[in-house]
Amino acid sequence: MTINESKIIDAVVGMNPHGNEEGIIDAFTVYLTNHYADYYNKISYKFEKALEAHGKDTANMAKPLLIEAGHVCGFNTFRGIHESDAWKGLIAPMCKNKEDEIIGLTATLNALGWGVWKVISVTPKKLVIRSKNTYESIGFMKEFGKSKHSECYLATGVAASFMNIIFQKDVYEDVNANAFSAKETKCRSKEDKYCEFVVTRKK
Amino acid sequence: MKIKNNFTKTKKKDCLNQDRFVYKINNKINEDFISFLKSFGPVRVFRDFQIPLIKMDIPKKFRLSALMNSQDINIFFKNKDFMKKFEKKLDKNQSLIPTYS
Repeated sequence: MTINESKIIDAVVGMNPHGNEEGIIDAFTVYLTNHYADYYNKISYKFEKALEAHGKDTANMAKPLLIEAGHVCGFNTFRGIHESDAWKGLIAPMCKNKEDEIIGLTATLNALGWGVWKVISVTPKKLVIRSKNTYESIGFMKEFGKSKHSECYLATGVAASFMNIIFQKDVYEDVNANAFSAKETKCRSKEDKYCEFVVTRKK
Repeated sequence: MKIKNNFTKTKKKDCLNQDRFVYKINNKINEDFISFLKSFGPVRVFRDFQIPLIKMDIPKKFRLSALMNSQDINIFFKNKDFMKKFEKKLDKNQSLIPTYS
């Protein structure tokens, strides 16, 4: 691997992304938001609890909806970053192959304050990525205590988006594309040591 | 010898469905071009990037990004009237540097 992650993080932090006079954070030709993690956690988990309370028909609807919301967010945000001048000037020169680009995207994710993520393995068919401090697992534990199942829905969608951006690209132009999806196989909200996401092609 | 003074412009939509423009200029972006950009306001140049990144965010005018040695400039105009002024000055700037084709 040729990616200098600390150099990427230093450079992105050095760019000092912040709101301009219009309140827009235009950091990588995408519009970023500076959001309270606790607020996001509260509305997503209350949404899940509300659907569970509504009855059997809706009990399992929140998870796929919140994962897809994370996927759409990750796909558009990181695709914008991947196409930006900042990517071309800073990260693209370090990348020898598409696997390196996944590591480059992960470095920007860390630089933007999404936790400390690490790519464990990546091939064109599969990504295994871990984080020791996703804000969703921390937020869930704080609000509701230990969970019976994995809770990092937004992060799961974002993990899938990385593989779709680098190895698929036309995921929204071609709805029948054999795109990637992710599963959170370990989660700190279940008292695992870290959260782990495995991304593979949909069957 | 033929002297070309113009640039090409391509319109793109951003994620908020707003217009962004990519200007392709005749000459590669260099220190002289950065001096030209400074006439519009402060310029940030990230020189620790392998390819230095140029960024501007000028209130009521535009946001701009470009890479050193590239010929492409990405711009979002906050004020449509300013776009005409920018293009006029850009055209003049490019006409000062003859290119041969």
